[in-house]
Amino acid sequence: MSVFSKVKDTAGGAARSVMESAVGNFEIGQAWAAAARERSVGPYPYLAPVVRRAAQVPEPPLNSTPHQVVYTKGKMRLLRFEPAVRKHKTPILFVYSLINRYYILDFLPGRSLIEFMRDQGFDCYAIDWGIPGEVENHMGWSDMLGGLIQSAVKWTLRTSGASDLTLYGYCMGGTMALAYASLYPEGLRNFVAQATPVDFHEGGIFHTWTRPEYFNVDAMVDAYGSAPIDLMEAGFSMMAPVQRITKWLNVFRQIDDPKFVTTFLAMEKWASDNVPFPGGVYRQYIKDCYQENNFCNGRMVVGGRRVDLGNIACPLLNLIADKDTIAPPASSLVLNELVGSEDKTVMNFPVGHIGLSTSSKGPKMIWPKVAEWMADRSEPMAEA
Amino acid sequence: MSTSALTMTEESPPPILLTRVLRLLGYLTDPKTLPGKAFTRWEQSMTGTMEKLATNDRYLRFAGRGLQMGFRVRKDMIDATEEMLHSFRIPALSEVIALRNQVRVLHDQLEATTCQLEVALDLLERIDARGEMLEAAVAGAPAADAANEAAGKGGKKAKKSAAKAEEK
Repeated sequence: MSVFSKVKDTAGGAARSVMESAVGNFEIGQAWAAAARERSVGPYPYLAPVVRRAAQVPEPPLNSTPHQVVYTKGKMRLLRFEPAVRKHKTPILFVYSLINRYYILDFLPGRSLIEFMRDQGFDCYAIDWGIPGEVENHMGWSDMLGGLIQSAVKWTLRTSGASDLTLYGYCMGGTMALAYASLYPEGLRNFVAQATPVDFHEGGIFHTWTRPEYFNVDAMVDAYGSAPIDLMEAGFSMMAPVQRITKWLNVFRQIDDPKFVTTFLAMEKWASDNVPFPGGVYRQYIKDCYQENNFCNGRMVVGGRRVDLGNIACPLLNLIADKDTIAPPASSLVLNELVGSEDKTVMNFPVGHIGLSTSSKGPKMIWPKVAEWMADRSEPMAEA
Repeated sequence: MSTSALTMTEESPPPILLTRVLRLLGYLTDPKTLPGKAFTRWEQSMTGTMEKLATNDRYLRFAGRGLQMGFRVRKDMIDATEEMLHSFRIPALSEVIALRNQVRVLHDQLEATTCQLEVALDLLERIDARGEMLEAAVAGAPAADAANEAAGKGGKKAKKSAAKAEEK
């Protein structure tokens, strides 16, 4: 190699790295400008592009299990995750909370609850509530249960060709699914409640913050029409305000571990992808559940009918995260005493609220047990 | 120059300045290091203070009143702004956002309608197939009766000849 070509290579390499650096910095600047335009207050939109650039990792492949939209009603979409080989005729319908987005259940490849259940031969369906707007703000619990969830159940049964299904509720979605199951028990074969708050006076810090003397839910819904993203995010941040920032320092220490960085960014992306909570539903949720604890005492009224958890007679699996601060174990455990089912199971796992769906323990320790429980109680697929 | 050396260079490019800066920040706040220990102490004390604040009755009452005032001011401001825009016949931001969302909903609705049509077609096909099977069964019934009758007559003849053979 001649001296001239060596110099040319070095100069070319330097120019390339300067160029790459300029492009990278430009991209970070663009991302920051977009975050500032959207008046984002969380750290994710500002720090994620920096970490991605430093760790040289792409956008995390969230929500990548193939699916199709089989039904919509307003903003709600019913998604189908069809298995390659279906082993169980009984489908699973996942009902997620109205806070954040459903795709925490379809997190990353290899760490997705929906992908796991699909691979176990279950025909999986999930309700994506979408991003609520003006129309949804005027909806109440009766519209959610008798309108949206009931339609989702109907279309799940129709599309899957089954006569009954397993209803799988998560977090506040579990609370709504329980209310649905008590009012419309037809077509339900099994019920799985994952990290579902039931006794809201055991609801930890959220119960304290939403007490009527501190929080006027009517004033908020009247002003915004919904529970706005910023306020919801501020509420979650107040649970651990210092760690919200300092956890990023831990990523800086592990910047050379692309797997760790990708998982962290995926989690933060989901956590920052908040959606406004429809006002009418939020008003009744705060009053009936957190402030008056009517839900578990059989006093909550939806569409003129009383929500009585004793009406639930199908087999029940209650999944509890021992380190849950959003739905503390004491808040969920009471469910088994309230339902009318004879076949009731409680499973505890040493994870946090989100860990039940995203922890590395999921595919190894948690989900196989859940899948086994459901398989034992599902109708097997008839041989062709 | 060996190929492996080249591959190594390609696999692990030298860290960019940004990576080095973040690594340094991480090191300085690592609980295993001296500055990190000081940082961890500060973090713990801040966490303790924030936890106390988040459950303090006076603070929560104060924050609640502040929020309530903020909500009222916001409601009044939005009402006034939208009224002013409407008086100039200009669409307000809320209307543009609603329109955008509506387009997205229409797109999803179209996708779902296609899927629902597929389900309906499947059902129709199944009904058709069942109808054809029934028709075939109905058409096949007289022929089957005739065959049964013939089999019955044949059976009697066979029995008679067997009895004769036994007698012989």
